[in-house]
Amino acid sequence: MKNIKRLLSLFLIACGLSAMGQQDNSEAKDIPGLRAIGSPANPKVPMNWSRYHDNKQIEQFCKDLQKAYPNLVKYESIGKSFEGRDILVLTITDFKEGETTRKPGMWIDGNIHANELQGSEISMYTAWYLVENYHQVDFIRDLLKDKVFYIAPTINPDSRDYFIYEPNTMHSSRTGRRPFDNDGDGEVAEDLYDDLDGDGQIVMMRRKSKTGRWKVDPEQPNRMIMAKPGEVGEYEMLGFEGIDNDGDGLVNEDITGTYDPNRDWGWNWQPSYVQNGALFYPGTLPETQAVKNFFFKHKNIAGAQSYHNYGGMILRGPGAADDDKYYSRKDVQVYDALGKVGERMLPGYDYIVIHKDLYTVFGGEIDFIALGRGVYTFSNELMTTYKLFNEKGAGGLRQSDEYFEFDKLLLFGDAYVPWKKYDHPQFGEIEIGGAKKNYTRNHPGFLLLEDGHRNAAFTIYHAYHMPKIEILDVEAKAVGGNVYEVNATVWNSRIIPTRSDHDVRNMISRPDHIRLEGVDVLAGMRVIDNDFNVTKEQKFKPHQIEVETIEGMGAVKVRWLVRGKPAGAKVIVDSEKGGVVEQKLSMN
Amino acid sequence: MLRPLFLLCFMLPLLGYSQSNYPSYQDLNSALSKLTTNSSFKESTIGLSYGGEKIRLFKLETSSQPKPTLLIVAGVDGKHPAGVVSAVEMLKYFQALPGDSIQRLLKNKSIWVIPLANPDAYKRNSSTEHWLSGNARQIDNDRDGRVDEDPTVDLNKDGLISQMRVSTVSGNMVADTLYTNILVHAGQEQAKGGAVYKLYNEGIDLDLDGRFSEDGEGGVNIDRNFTYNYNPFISETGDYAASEPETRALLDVLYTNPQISTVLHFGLGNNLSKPEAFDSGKANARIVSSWLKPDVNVSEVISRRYNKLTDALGKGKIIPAAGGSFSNTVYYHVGKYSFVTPVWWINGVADEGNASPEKRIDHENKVFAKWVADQQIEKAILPWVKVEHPNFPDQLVEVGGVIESAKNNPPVPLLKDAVELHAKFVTDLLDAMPSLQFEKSVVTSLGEDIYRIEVSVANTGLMSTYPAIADKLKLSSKFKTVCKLSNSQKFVSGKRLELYPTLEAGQARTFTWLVRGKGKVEVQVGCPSAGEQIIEISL
Repeated sequence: MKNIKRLLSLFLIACGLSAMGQQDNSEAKDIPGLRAIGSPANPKVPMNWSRYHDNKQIEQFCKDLQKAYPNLVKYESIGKSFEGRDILVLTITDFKEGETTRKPGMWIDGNIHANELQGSEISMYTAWYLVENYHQVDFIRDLLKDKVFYIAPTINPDSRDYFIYEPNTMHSSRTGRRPFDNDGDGEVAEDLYDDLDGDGQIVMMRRKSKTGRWKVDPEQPNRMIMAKPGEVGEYEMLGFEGIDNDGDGLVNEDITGTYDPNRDWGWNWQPSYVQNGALFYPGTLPETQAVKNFFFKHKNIAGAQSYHNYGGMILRGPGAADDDKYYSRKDVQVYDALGKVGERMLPGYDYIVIHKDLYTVFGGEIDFIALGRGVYTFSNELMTTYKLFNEKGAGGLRQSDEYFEFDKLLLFGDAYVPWKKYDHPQFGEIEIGGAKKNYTRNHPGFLLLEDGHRNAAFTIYHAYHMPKIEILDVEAKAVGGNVYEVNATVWNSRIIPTRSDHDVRNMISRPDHIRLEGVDVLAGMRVIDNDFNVTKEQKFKPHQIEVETIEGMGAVKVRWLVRGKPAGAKVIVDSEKGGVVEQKLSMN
Repeated sequence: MLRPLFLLCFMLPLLGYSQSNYPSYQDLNSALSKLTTNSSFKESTIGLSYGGEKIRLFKLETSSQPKPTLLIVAGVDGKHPAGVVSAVEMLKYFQALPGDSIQRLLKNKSIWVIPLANPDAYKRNSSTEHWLSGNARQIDNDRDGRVDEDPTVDLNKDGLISQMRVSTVSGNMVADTLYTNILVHAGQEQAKGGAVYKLYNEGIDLDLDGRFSEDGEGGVNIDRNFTYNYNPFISETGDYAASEPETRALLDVLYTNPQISTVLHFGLGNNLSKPEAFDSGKANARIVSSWLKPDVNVSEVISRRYNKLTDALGKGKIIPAAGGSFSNTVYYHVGKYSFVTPVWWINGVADEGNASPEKRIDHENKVFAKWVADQQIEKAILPWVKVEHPNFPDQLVEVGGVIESAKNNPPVPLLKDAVELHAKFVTDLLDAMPSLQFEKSVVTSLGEDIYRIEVSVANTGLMSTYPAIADKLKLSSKFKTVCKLSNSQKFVSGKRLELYPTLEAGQARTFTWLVRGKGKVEVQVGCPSAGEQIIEISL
């Protein structure tokens, strides 16, 4: 009896175990009728993607995600901000498959400009989407086997919380929290915004004036428009809420950090008179230093996305016209191939070049990554007026009145502070009112999820097309005496080459290695044309052929002459940005 | 061990000098440590090098209240130990001045000295006698993915890295007829007959890439790592501008000490023997690459005085500025007066006008060879010695010729005259630096408790209060006035704070405020680089 009982309990345990194993899988799959296609119906980490998050909530998200998916998620601090906050990076990959640091890496960051909140949410969404769908979507499972994502939700954490919790406009707190003397008057951060009416919003000031050139839009009472030529105006505009705190006749001219963290990077850096917002030298800020160091430590990064707002753009470099020379035709073709698909995935977004179609940027992050490190990099300017009514705005980016209409019809007036009177110590009787800080640049809630997914999908597409090296046709044949010839063909089944043309020309990363191990190599060569036996011998270390790049959808052939039958030998392809693969020799 | 030698060097008679008598790193540091006993000498550290060595700053100042300051910097490029020794000697010179002289010198100004900005280089080089530029970072100099795989090799085991010549019909160099140990470019007439050589640096091409010793020890050259006109992807410039801790430490000192008015760099550049030239197109471009006109005027004044004072050294050697250099960055990006000189040069080396690069190198080598012969300098030009060479198994290969570093770094005793003349120049430069003199303020009562306050100030130096380019730079401290009223007072005209452009040499400026109400007014006028004053007025 006892034995039977024991057997039974063992059996039950075994059943339980296998059942649990099965349950683990089935639990990961949504009930088909509940799953809205493309979205997890029962995520292990439930999230509300129609809102914004502060640093504490971002860290909690990282913790929760790592706890729920320990085999897919690791998060770490890559450094401290000026005020001592952690700069968090999520590493997302299938940690059970291959060596993480040798997989082609996709870098994603957001929120370098702290008022541009949604880059963080979209970065977080990407991490969440990947792991919550790992068990349900084969494409994602395979992607995380091949590739690794490095996701930094915010690389400006100090200013993110400052933007969220302190008086700011939609444009302010673009910067970090290190105080500088921005106007050279020897005093630091002495003239900040002032929330005059204490409502937590920094909005506009206007004053009734006989000579003013502004009037209230009769259609949209929240909107101020210019009086027409020949028409008398009602108001003069006095800028954002504030007072002249230092008595220099200027209002809000020395807010903390009018510097720009996106002008603090080590490529074509220029000082403040050329490039507004630059500091002492590239890397004056600990936040940008931390990211730069991460790049130098992770030479496997082959693609990058840095989220900004706004305007609906898929930007590529260069930031300055004189760097156009670094964008060869070959590289531009790769950008075009990805960017044009991006335009399709992101309705209302245009794929454009920073210096040509936006403005000139010296010392920007995109240039550092793309040109300093030779990594294919996009920067999406999130949110566009197109999203309001799914059509191109009539008046262009900054003149459009759709925001007022959209607020009225879809947000029911939540977006604006109505004008009200205020007695100003320097301006006298004025009125205060205008758009709230989270309107116009940051997505309204219900648009955030949709645009978040579209942008995440674009970076996933970008990541998918980072190089994937495959070894084809390895063969050995006897060529007389004790000499054998080994031929190998290596190909890259994706759009992005193992090394960008810019990388190759400037030798940013080392050449790719195609190595034959386990046999005595007499000579080694690239096969330029197999049919006509055109080869190029490599004298130095012939067993390890150095190739400049393996083009997107392109192949490289190599040949070795070896002593003795190369049984048990293997071919290894080892590329910094393209990954590592190996294959044993098959003997005919 | 070497320290007594170092201290004795200035007293040695002319016996035949060796170029290799630069003090060891340890001896250099202990010589510096001996200096810091005096009360007007203070020492601090501006940061650590890549290799963890302290970068020392010595302050000659009579009070901790900031005064317009001259900063002397040496040893940025490790190839220039002569600058380092000159800076140390300069410190000694000022320390040895009688108390009243130094008090007079430092009454309204301060002198700061960073004698060794790149200590890693000096530490390594002084032990190997091979003077390389960079810090201790291991770099892949030829960017082929292999680090230090092709170092210099001392083929003939003489302890020195010199030149290597290979006898080949495809060569372009021949032995000079007068100084047979140097090679000169073969003119067409010379090529006939005698042996023709290809010239390399002493070494072996281990990675078979056709280049010799292109990737050895020696990290990032700090004098190529600064932000102005930085060149990426070039050997020794680093991964990006200001990637090195030494670079950032120097820039942090400059940016956070607005009282630094002028920087004098003892290094491999020269804008003192020949002043900065004005180029209107470059000065007005979006990215400025010529000194602005008022600053060129200052450069001309200072250069004239420099040439007068250093006349005995002969015409100065012009060394063109490279991208990412310290001195250019100090002017173009930090917005301070920036002068650079190699301190010492071979008299006569500057004589060749607009010759081709080949002719210029040949001329320099010939002048160098003459000097080496005249002064009996050892370890500067070596006789050629035959060696066996793996890359050229069947050719005649010889090692010898010019030791490049000897051209800019004479035996230490030979620096004496140059250092003394430059100490005089430093004194002169202190006098020329901007200096604001304040006149007594004038208060006029207009009745009904309305007062006019007038303050006048003149720049009695030979240089503007700061270079004109600084007016463009947001982060540099400007000329300003701050007028602080008591609670009961009000401005009728004028503001509490006002910024002004730089005040040129010899110019004066008057500031006026109309104030209503009795009481105390405090007026602050000036800028840190030329002097500030606080005036208290009772209305």
